[in-house]
Amino acid sequence: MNCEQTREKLVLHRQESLFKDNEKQEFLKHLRSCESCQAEYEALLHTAAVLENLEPPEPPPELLGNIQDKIRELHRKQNTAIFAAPFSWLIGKFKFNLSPKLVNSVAMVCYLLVSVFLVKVIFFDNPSKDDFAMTAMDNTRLPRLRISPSHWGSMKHGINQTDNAKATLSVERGDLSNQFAGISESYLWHTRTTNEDVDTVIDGQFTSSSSNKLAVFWSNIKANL
Amino acid sequence: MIPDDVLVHKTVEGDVEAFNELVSRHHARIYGLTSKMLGNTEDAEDATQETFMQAYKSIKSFRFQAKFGTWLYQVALNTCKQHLRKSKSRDKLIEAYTEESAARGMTEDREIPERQVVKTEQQAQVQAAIDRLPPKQREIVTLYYIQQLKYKEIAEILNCSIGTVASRLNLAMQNLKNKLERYQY
Repeated sequence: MNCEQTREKLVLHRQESLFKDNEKQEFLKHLRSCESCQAEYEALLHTAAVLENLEPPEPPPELLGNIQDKIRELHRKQNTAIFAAPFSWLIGKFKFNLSPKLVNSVAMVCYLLVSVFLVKVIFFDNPSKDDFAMTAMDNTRLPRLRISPSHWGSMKHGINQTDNAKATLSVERGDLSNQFAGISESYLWHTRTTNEDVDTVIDGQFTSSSSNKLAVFWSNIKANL
Repeated sequence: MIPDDVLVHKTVEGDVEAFNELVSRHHARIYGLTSKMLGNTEDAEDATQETFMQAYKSIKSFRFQAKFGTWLYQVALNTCKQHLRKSKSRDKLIEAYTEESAARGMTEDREIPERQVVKTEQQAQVQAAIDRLPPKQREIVTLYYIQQLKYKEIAEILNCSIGTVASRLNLAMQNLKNKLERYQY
């Protein structure tokens, strides 16, 4: 074994099992006889000792907790249903440690409650006539005048016999301006006209307002009931 | 103590706390590797975190042919390589110290930016010398002398033969010896 071959084997000094057959004997034989290779070997041992004395860096104490939190968050994200993603995000923000199954369940319950609420509001929360009338009035400039849908119909298509008489009475009393003849503060409230009249009037008067579209919606429902 | 393999099985079945137990067992060694490979604490913390995140994501690909720790080293080294690629300053360093220049003797003495805080001046100098090694030599020195793994384990981690490990380590030690001679060790 020559110097070059010997130096290639120097790093194997601690891994004797890696020497092939009688390589070890040849390696040691050369090393004993060659001062240059001995110096190289000593230098290598010295460098190795310096490296082995190097203290392993201590991880910062918060590192473990941070990694574990991230892993939990990742686990939650991976196992949370798409519909529960906003809840998962919110839970992550507040650093609550909830299992993905629980997050999914909470999300389902919340969605269910919201659905029930919306169904109730849209289909079962039937406002009274007064509410409807007041909603309509809010969009006029006659806040004090209470008016029923039927009398908008009267205004649009002419005052019928019954209304005429009452309108006359109203005008005589001087309660209302001529413009709104036939409509008084509660005189005409119970007077009924056809639903078609109501629709026509409201369509004509309030189409620009979303709240009045809702009013039309309600009136249709009422008509169909 | 529950063996690592059992904890891996539990993790695959969905037990996140089993994986967190693996994190607590291995994070110090992985941090040791990443800090030596990357040379500063911030990058080392990021890389350690990414290593475990990556390991968790791909835990199903672990085939139990090697130890979990060995597999984790592979993931950590890949993460370190990605970090080195990302870092511009590191890229310059890698270009400057390619395998060829290492073979020629590496006589340049370049300024290295701020390094990991070490307790003694000697340790700082040794760390600086390790940092100046090309990445492949740095990883082998770290795995063999600092992590104190065996050739066989290193060969598994680096996916190469034991002969390659020996020759690469030999080259790395020659380089390191030359560098440390300047500090009169």
